[in-house]
Amino acid sequence: MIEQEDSATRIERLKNRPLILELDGLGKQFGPDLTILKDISLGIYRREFLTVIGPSGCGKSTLARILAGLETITSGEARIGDEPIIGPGPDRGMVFQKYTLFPWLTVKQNVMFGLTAQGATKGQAEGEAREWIEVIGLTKFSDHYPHQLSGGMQQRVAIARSLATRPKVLLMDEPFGALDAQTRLRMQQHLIEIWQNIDVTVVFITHDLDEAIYLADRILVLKPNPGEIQALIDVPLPRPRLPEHLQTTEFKSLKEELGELIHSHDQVEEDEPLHIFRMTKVDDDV
Amino acid sequence: MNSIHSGRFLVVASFLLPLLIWSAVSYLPFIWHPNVKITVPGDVAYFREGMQIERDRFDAEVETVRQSGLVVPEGYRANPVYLPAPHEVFRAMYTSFSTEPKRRSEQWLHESLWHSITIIFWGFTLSSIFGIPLGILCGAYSRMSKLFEPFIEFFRYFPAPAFGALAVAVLGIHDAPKIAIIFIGTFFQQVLIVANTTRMIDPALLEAARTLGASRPAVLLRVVVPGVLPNLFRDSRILLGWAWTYLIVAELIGTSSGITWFITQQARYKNFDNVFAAIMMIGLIGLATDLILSHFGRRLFRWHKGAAS
Repeated sequence: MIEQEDSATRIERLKNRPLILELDGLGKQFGPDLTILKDISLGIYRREFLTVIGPSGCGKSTLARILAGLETITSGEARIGDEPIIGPGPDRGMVFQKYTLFPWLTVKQNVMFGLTAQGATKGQAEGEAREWIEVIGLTKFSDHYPHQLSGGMQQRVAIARSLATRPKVLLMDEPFGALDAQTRLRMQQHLIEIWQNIDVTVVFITHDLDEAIYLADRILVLKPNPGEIQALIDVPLPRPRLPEHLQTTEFKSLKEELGELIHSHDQVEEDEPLHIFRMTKVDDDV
Repeated sequence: MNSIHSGRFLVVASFLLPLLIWSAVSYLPFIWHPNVKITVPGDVAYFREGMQIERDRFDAEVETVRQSGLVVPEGYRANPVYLPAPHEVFRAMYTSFSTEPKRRSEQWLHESLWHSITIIFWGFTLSSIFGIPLGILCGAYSRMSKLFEPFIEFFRYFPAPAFGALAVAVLGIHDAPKIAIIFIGTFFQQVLIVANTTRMIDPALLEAARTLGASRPAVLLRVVVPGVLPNLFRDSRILLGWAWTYLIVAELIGTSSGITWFITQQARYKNFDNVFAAIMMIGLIGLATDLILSHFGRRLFRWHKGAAS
């Protein structure tokens, strides 16, 4: 009970912080008839950890790409601070589900990439990169090439690469989607640890309910066709998060609630009925 | 270990097999050998020692001579002069280098070969200096692609040798038109191939670079160019192979020169062993260049997964 009080006040504190991202009636259409996102209005607080969940086709990845500036907006607006988002910028980093380390660069050179692209000297960038590689615990691998690393290691480097330029917002599009369950849990803890120690707001896209709850301050649930906000849920779990929290009743009931929200849109009835023809003669006696 | 072993064996076999067939045809008199080489002309009026004649004719003449009781000609089964035996060609590979040219104005074989190599080098280098950057730009920016590729696509159907006479008229009769033919034959293919290779780069890498704050020119120089290099290297190896094909045509225009001149000259003297030797030299040079380049490629692009090929 006391725990719940704690997390309630924590959420209260969060909501007293200034907004860093503001989405105002944001919509995205492909062509005249395909609406991916419709009327998304939402404020995201500074240093918040927001996870976005929803069935496939709800436009959650598109939302992350819009915030990264990789997709255009067709209606409404998205702002970071007071600036409208019109393209990629150094204030927003992104980690993709696909491994996107530059394969011709070593771990260190990858982490340096954003720094030098933004005008840091090689010496500065190298110093920063060394620190970040230490944070992700890959100092021994700093001269390795990406193909020599495991998937989990590659994603750790990708996170370090994005954070090295000190973005205000880190966008993560199912970054652990391709990892096995154990590595994924380790990565989640690792990410929370990093996030707690720096001033960064995380918008984290996932389709995994456990992951969505475990990481988040708040969970944004989207529904599909077109992608609209279905719910915005406060997570009543204390910080720092521990794997034990996955066993609590709060966690389990929240997971159940989320599951119902998401599966309420399974379109079984709308599917065409199956027509099974008898292609060959079947012996009815058998 | 076993598979490495059998792999090597197959590589050796792939060279050995054609050689075996060639040897069989050359050294086993019952295979093919459609002619008879005359050793004793006998009483056939037009037979000369060393002359080759079809077997049927020879047999017919022998029959006629025998019936009239005259001296019967003799000979052994032989292949036509245009198919020398392996040992003759291997010998020619040595002797053609050590044989002095017949006339003082003519070149030694190694001089001819070197001349051919310089022509290829300049044609290919000039083409690459323009073709590779243009190809990368076309692959990276759709506007560049729309501006250049349709015309290049059209132009590449013109056979390069068709420009021979034009090249001579414009550039003279010496090396310039030959380099131009290689350039025309390589450049247009090169732009299109490099553009396609550039388009195969993973767009996620470009997006990652953009989100890291790289400007568009920086994405081109720091992501597209390094990302495309290994495949570009592979493309260049293939294109260089094609350049040798254009060389043979290029060397026939204007004053004929280089290895092609040597081949036509030797064919005129009916030194077919030398002709084969020269053709094989081209093959060996091509193979050697490719092996050296592939070795360099592997060392340069260690990071690349496909680098082993």
